[in-house]
Amino acid sequence: MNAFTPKQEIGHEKTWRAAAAAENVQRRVRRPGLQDVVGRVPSRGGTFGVRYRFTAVRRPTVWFAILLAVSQAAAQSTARPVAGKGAQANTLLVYANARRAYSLVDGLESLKLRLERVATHLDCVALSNAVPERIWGADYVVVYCPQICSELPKDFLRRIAGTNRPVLWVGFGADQLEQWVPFKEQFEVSPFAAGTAVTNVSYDGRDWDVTIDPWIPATLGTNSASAVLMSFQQQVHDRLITRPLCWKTAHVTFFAAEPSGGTVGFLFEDLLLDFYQATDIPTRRVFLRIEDYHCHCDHRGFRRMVDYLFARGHPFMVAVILAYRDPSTGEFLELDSQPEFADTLRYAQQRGGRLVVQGKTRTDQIESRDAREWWDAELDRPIASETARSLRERLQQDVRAMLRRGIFPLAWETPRYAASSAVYPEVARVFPTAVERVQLSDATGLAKSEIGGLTADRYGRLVVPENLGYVLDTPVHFVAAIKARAEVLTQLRGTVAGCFIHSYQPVEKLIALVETLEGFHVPFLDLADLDNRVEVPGALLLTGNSQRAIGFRNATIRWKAYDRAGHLLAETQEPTAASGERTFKRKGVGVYELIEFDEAP
Amino acid sequence: MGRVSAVYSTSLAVKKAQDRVSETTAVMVLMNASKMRPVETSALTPALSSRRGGSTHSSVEFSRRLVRHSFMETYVGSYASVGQSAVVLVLFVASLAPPPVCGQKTNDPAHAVRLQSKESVRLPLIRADSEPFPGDTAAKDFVVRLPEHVSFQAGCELRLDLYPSLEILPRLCTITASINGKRLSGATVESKNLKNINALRIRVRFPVPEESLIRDWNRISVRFVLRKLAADAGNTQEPGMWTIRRSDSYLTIVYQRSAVFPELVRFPDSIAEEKLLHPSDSRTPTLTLLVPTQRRDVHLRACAVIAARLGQLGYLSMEDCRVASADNWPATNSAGNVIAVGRRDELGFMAWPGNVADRLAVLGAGKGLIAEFIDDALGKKRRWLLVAGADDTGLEKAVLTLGNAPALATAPPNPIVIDAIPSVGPDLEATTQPETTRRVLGDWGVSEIRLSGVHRMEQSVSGWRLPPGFELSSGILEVRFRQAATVVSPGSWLEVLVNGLNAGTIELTPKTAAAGSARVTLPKGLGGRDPMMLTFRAHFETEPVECAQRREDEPWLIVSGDSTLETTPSLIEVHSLSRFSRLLLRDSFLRRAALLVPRDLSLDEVRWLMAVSMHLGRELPSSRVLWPEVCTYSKASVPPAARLQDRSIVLLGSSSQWETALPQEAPLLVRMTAAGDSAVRMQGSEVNVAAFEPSLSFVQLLASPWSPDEWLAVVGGWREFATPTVLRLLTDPKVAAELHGNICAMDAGGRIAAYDTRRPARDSLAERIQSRIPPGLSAEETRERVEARKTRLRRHGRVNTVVFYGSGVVLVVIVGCRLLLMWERAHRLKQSGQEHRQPLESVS
Repeated sequence: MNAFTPKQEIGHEKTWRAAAAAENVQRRVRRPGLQDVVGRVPSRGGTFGVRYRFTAVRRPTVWFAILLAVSQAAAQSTARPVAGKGAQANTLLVYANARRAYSLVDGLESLKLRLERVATHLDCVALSNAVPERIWGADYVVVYCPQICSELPKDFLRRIAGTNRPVLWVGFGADQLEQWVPFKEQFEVSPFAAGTAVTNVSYDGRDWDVTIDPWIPATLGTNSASAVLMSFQQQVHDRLITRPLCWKTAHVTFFAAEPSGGTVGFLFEDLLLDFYQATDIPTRRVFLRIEDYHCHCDHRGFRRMVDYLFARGHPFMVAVILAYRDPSTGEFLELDSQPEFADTLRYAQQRGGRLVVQGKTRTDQIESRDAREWWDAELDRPIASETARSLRERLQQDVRAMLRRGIFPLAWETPRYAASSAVYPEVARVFPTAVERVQLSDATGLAKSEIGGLTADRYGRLVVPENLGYVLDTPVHFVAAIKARAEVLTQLRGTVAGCFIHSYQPVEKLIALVETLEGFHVPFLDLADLDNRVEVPGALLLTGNSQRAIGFRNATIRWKAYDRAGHLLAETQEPTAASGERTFKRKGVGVYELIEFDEAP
Repeated sequence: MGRVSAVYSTSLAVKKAQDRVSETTAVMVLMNASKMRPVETSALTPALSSRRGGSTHSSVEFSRRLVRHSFMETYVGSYASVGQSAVVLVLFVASLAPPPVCGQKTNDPAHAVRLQSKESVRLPLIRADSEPFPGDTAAKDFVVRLPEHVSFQAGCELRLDLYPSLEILPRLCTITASINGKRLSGATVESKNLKNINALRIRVRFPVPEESLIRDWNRISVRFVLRKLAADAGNTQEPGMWTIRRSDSYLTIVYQRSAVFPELVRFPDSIAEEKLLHPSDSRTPTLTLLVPTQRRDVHLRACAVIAARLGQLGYLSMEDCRVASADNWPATNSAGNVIAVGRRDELGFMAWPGNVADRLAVLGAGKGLIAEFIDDALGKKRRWLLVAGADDTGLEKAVLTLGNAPALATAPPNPIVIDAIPSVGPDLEATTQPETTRRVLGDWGVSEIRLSGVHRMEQSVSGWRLPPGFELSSGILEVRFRQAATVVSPGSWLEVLVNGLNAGTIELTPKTAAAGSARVTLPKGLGGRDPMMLTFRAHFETEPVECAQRREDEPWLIVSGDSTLETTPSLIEVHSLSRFSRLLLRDSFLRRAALLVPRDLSLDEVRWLMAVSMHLGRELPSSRVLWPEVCTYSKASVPPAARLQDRSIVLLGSSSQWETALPQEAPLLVRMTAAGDSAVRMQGSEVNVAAFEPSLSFVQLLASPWSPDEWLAVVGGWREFATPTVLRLLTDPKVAAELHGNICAMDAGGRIAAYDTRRPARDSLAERIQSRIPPGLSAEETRERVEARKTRLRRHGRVNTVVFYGSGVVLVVIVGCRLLLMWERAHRLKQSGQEHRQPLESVS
């Protein structure tokens, strides 16, 4: 399935410039300034696209505009890197199996998510349907064999050997290419997996502490022209020999392992950037999400967290639970009836907090039915008690309530990162941006992706990956795991490393977490800088370069622009009602643009 | 035999305690194991736990101002000698001995990340030097407030030194403690026979797990498990008395300081909470208020607003605050947080941080600025709070924003530019106007109130809102309760107290066991308070029960959460000085309060003014807005009428300054004459000032010349107003209770004379003052003189009575004798008339 359709285009991919200049040590939340009034200058059709009569424009204005554009472009590029052949290039993913033997983990889905880290059109086809035209029509070919392949079709192997497209071979079956030109005598690969695990690999000039299992033993020929991209040392009869784990022979890059979760997956994604010869690789970012904030939380303690993050100049995310069931009365407490809750959300928004709707009803009874409305964790299966459509409608209601109060949600987080596959498309119609670990399939809610950067999933959502874990409830070493993983991610290119801390945790733990993240000298991600879109009937919220085509009939259209803190900057209303379909893009004023439609009955 | 059984029962109690601890430990292990279910431990994403949140505290527990030190009661203490109760004491100590399996989990001291050193402080449990409470108390609560800018570490401890009277020891089974509802274990017990004062002391130490402490209010409950002795000749039924002393009962907390960062929304806690870690230190100021050398009304108003907000904390006094001139700042620089107030052009003494200086520089006319930043110029981080304005209007807007907590919460990020005076929305306004309501306890989050134990236990709830400016027109509390069948009647009752005053007593009988209900009429005219405290105090009488059979939760009484409280409030009317303490509190936001002070106050007088404002704030701890007005007056400038309209005013000044502020026709009862300070005109008569106590201060109530429906209290001494005496007049509740009439005088010794010119009196104002506050006598001597005078008056009265009735009796006797004589004469005449008629009849 093509991840992008014309009407569901998430946003233009930004052209990223001046990456070196943008490597700020600590990205500060910008105070309201000219850029918040003027807004981001889009890279296409923006400042440089505007034709000035140069002689008519004063020099300081020009310099200022240039500086503004450069600084904005430098500071804001967070989109996915583009393949060397362009964002419109086609990647054909040919798979022999969707998953490893005896595993519920959908390895194919995981691989797709990794491939989507680089912007191309991804097409997925089973090996049996990999006709020659498909291979010739692709700009990049990826072959995925997670299980031992007894005999691959010779035609297929010949096409792979003979194509001039870059090919990435992942997993088993590479041994069957040994006899084909140009691979003859270049390498020997075992058809089977090794019985032991690899615990340390060399990649990109350094050693990485990683556990890889399974992996496929391979050796390079004596005069092999292959380039080793990743290797490890193995003890063989009192000798240490270097075994390749990933190498490139001719036009094919071989990855002799399963890029499952953890460090090996992150390293694989880094390899992809070279495979695709990606350009516009964005700056590494980290983010922090305050989790499970609801109306019965300690608002005072939450504000302390917000104040601290603001004082440090870091944008952050807040995962908001909009409904709470009071266990003593059974009453549902929602945003409308909780003014302090709404005020505190605005407080956070003003200070760099970006709101992520966490779709669950919070109760203090963990085993209550409501807590399982998205996924049955006990039986590990989807819940069919409520239709996905009704969930979407309820979500739209909640979002409207937020927008009425000047609270702008930008993304979605699936509760426990698990829901029926029928739910995601419905939610994606409201929130095309998600901050979570993507559930790989309905087969199990326990298998989730661990992706190292921005990616797109099969529902067309832009996924901001949470991949560092969370702050533990222990008195010591509560950020050790986060730190260990962040040490890996912040060494790789174009990564987004995200973690979360529960809202009930003391502020000291937040301070420790922030200091840990600051230690990596990587800027914090501001979710508002991405091309987000939130759509409910009657309203459309845009940030970044997002756009959306909407049809309406006899509707009065109002446009409002808000700055980063959520203050109204400008407002217009079209004088007459309009009908038809129109593509709404951000005008570039402020950070949030809200378009409201009042359709006449 | 009795001792053997006591040993046996105590050892049983110890064994039970051991079993209980083992169970608790086992349960805790089980709970820890159940946090991660097996299916989730094998998740492919081990970093993602199934435990997706779960606050350990509900937001109700974070209510800010509803718990006050008024939980603590004061009684008169008593001590007793040890005598033969030493054996009983040993047995009691044995019962408290920690079981060998008990142990507290220790934390790895190798903390991640922060390398701040640990500090510790002892926080006393009570405010007074000592506090006695009845020996039959089943549970005693203490409240300790902890700051938010520290994290608690391992090593915290609760130490209780309890001094029992002799009657208690035979009844005492054991003592337990809990903090914030969590039971403390691992008690260490010592006892000591203090030979020097011949008293008994029981010292119990409980290790306190740091996770059981919370920021803000912590409730420490000490439970006394008593047995009930049979009422025979050997057992006294007197309850006895416990005493606890501030010096040796405390909570030791071990803490590490957290990072300090700007937190405007937490004002005033953020700027003052360091005081909580130094409760006994009055030498080092917690904060310094910097004001310009040339102070105007707006600066004084800023001081009043800030002080009122600081007073709301309840633990800060003016000794903890310094007022200094901004121009002398470098010379007076000291540790402690700083609040600087001034117009932009008055703040040049300091190099402000870049973002603050930028905002200050571009501040437009009529705009204010509030900024907070952290500096560590002295090697120790401290907060700076800047309250500034481009002009006086802007400065006032900033001040009023600081006095409005909701406005701070919704303000833009720091530094804040203030464009307009924050508004008070309808919801907020509604909190100042209590209405006739019918509420159930459940509306305040109280599902039920459980009282248990032998014999006496009380619990208070708050949530009922009746601000100090209001009183109760009528109030009925319908108490629904049930009690254990083991409660014996008579001898058991339930008292209902409102703000510590008894409102009603309900007898507990067998009929009320299953479901009891009683109506308690609350006293009409009960004054409001912030917060209003409803206390339920139970006294249980039971059958004799030994320690081995004692259960802590028996007997019990449960007040149901659907007990209703129906109240009708009314605004307090001030007609005399008996309501003087409420004069400025008639609006919970102090919008009807104004202080009128002489111009050009010295720094000491400013500080004194802040003490008055702090008192106002202390009376209104839960008010979200505090906006007292302060205006100045002088011979050259009259007070601004527009600012004083619709406000109750306290005019402060010396007796010669008062008339400067008031119109000529104002009915001042005390006026200095034109002859200077030697003579004063009282009630139209000139009196020598030297005839009065030199430390006299006056308070007179009259109608406000600026508002027909408002009051003005003129307060001050002969030559100054910023004195401790005047401060007591304004803030001391005991003094306020003695004021009445429309003018009162008080001296430094606390002697008070009250007078009401609106009523006829036998003496004049001057005479009253001179008789009640004779110069040259101490308070004790005056009291003796007054007592002697009263005795004399009583004696004279008795004599008068004797003379009156004696004279009457004499008169009656005289009149009676006269009548008797008259009757006898008439009788004799009558008899003689009859003798004359009889001789004529014998001749014929």
